[in-house]
Amino acid sequence: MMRFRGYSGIQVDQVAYRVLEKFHPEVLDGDAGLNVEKFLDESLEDACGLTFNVTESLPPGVLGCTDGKCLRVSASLAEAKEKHDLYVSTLAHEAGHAFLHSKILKDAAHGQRFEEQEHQSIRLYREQGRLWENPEWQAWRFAGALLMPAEPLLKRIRAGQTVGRVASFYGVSQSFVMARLRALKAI
Amino acid sequence: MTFADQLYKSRREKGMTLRELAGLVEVSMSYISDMEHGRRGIPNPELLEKLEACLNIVDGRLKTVAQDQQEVRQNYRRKLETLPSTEAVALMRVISTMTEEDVRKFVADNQAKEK
Repeated sequence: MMRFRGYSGIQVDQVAYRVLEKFHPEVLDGDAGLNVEKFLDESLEDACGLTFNVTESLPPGVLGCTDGKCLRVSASLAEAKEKHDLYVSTLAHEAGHAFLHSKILKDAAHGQRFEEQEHQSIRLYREQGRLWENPEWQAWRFAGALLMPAEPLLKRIRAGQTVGRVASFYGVSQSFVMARLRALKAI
Repeated sequence: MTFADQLYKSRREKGMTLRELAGLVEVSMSYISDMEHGRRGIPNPELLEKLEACLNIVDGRLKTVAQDQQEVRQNYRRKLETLPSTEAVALMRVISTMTEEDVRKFVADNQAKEK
């Protein structure tokens, strides 16, 4: 079984911050949300050495998957306009695996990969030992930090924007905004 | 260079996303992504034409690489047909276990030998 490096929430946020600083600093200014699909399509290979794939060939019920070679996301999810928020959060979650775990996945035996099953999008995998060593928790924390960097997010909340409006700005679900605010201990 | 590599390279050079190219040539994103990763064969001439137009390819390099790849495949198919059936079956069993990467390496090695 692979062992993963532990990260605190703040450390994961810092990794995401550095990624945004390098590739999309405008997101940190708070004026724009991240187009995560465009970002992965254009920059994932240069950043992590993994290719970005949209494919029909994932097993039924699997929305996304990352291994040592590529990041794959379900084509039916990518094309479904009514599931845009789930698509965005799945992409950002897979980006978390790519940025935090691609080295260990490349070194691991052939076939090691992360798969995200349907209906588990915001679920934390608390059953596997310590939370900060759990790669799924790390990837979700990264997803939140990549899509909703702390400072601009908190600025919007302090300015009185509703969770619904904030969710719509970032292209995510309201429950994901709430999870991010809880992670930042803002609620 | 394979058709898949050339398509991926041309799209990146043009600075176009999968979604943008898929929209322009009116196919799904997964169709483009699958072609770029060698999971789908050479497209029909009409789509090939559209791809070159949308990617502003004026020297026909996408069509050229597609033709080369099709010729290589046809050559191997012809060679396979000349083999006794037991050998052909054995060969097909070996080929079925090869990954896309193995196939690309095999084709590249053979092309180098033939030159």
